[in-house]
Amino acid sequence: MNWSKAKTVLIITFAILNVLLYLTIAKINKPQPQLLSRQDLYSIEEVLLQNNIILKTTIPQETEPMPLVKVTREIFDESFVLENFIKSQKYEKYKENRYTIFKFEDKTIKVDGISFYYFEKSDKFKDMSSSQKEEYVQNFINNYHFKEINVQVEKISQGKEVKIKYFQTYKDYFIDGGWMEGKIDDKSFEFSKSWFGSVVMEKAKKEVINAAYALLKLVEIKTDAKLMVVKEIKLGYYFNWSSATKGEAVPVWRITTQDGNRYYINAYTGNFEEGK
Amino acid sequence: MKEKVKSLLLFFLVLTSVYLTYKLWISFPQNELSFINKKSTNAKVDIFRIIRPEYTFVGIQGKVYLVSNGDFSFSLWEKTANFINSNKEEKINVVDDNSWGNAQKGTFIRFLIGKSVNGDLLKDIFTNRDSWFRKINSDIYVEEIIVNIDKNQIFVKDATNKKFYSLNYSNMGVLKNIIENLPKDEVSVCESVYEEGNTYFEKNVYIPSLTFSIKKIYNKETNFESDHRFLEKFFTNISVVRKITENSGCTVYTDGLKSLRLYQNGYIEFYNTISEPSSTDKNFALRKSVVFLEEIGIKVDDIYLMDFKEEKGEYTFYFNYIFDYPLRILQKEMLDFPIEINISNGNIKYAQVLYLDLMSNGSYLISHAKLKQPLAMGLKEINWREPLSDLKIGYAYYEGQFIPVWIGESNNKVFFINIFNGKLIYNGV
Repeated sequence: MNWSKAKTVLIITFAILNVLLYLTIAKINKPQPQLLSRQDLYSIEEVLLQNNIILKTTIPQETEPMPLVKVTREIFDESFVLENFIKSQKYEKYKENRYTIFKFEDKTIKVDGISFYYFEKSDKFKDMSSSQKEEYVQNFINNYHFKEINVQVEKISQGKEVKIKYFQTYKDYFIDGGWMEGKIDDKSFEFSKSWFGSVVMEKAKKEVINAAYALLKLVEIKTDAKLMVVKEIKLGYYFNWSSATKGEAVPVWRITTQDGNRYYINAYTGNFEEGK
Repeated sequence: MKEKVKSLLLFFLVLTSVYLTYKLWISFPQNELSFINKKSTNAKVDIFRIIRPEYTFVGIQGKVYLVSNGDFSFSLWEKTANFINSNKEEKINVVDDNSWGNAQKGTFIRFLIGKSVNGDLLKDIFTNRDSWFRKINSDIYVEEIIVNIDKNQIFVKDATNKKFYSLNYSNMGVLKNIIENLPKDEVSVCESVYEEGNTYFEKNVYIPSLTFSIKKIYNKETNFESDHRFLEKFFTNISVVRKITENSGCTVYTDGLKSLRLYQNGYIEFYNTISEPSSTDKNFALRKSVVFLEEIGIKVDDIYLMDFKEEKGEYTFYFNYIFDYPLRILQKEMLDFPIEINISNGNIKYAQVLYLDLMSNGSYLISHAKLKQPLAMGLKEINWREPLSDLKIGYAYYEGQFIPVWIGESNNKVFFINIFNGKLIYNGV
């Protein structure tokens, strides 16, 4: 037997085998965006309609693999209130359920560790214009270091009331549970915040279900014959754990209906997550 | 030289090929199905090991012995069950308190079954077609079984209906042989501490009368958080499982439908919201529970069924650990039972498990005087108004320690006395 020739044949064989293996692995691991056809969309709308579910929004068509994200809640406790607001002023403090309440001057602050609420009553708001009210909210946010970068802003002006809502986002995905709101009218100013101070994407990405599948889950969830109007369907992250300040948030499809209810469908498993 | 290069290249290519094959292999999802989703419980479950006595006493010629070796106790239980299964009783009678008292005289084996076991569950052990279980109402809760060899009778105490049954056999030679050849190193000679006029006890209560030996036990701790294989036992696909660290220090793993909470004190809590209706009975549910415990790594030889509840088609099983002697949980923040499993629609709805891997490292040897003195001290400290109905030996589990204790019972109250120093650990109030 020609051992040298045999080696050459084996080298070529293994080289070809390795290339094939490499290409197969690359193909398996390559993320493939899923697209819905026009026919698919039509069929979905039909099924939803048969179940008294009307879509008043477009169905997002492209989805890409998403990882879990590690989130840590921003902490609002007694020391936060004392250092940033009360300082050396006289104040009254008491407990009400899970909240610690501070009262000083005409102001009230409520904290429970993961959420912050501020209330101020004053005549100074009486003569403020809408833009001045808006500016007051902005200044409050800046002065007390509440300002955030990754936000989606929504401004609502209704009569004498000006409301500015900030929703936490991360790489264009919403982070459910991360929000702040400033509300001001002629008599008082209110501000609330619940935020994730740290949001870090993990490495391993995983395919997510498409929006159509999530919408069809509504048929399963809906138990009555009442009309349900879907206002929005959006992909983002969900961390609904009141007894935890850190953990992993999971990708979800958030379906918002016209009456304000929210449904969360796990974008990995397609299962309904708790909470409305 | 050229040949050397070719050999090296071939070697490199073979290694690369092995690596790439491995990468390809792990690209496919593994273990798609876990036991949680299996609809049937096909695994062979030895229910006989799960329903077994907490304590076994043997009486020979006026002397009473406490079986101090768990394996020997189990062997007596097994042989008794085999006898019942292979012999048909001649007669079944309902007997009175006196006959029950006399059953504990002469040559006998006395099995104490913890908090009693439902008759239906015992049917799986006593499988004889014509056995007495077909003739006694299945709603009985068996608390004690006494095999009286001299009388050729087996006595059964039904705790719920407060009835005693006697089963008459023609011959008990097989069991007599076992008793006559009792291995003395597996048992402790006992004496009754009951005396007429003594206010401490209401009946015969036996305690070891010679030097007594009890194993030192400890828990071999397991770190679940770094063990992905452990998570795979609960979740079908762990790549969709997220981890949450609760403010209390607990770690929670969930896929949205099932969740697993790991407590710092060794408890694990599993909840499953998936419910696919399937018919089940209590025996199937018990098997399912035991398979679950085995799957998650609980040593089935170290546990036994302690209590059982049935409500609206849901079955809840309570298990306890045993290592020659049973365990009692003393920490207030913990559950009374180390293991609780609820089965609904044939699926595990929740499980709360104090995860223990019991090991022994030697034994304590306690002389009779050193055993009796602290007990007397402890009994004085209690200043109990009512006489005690029972006094047994066990392990009290407190903050990871297993303390040998006297377990005293009176009118549904329980107290624990440290076996070494007589100090009252918990007065049951």
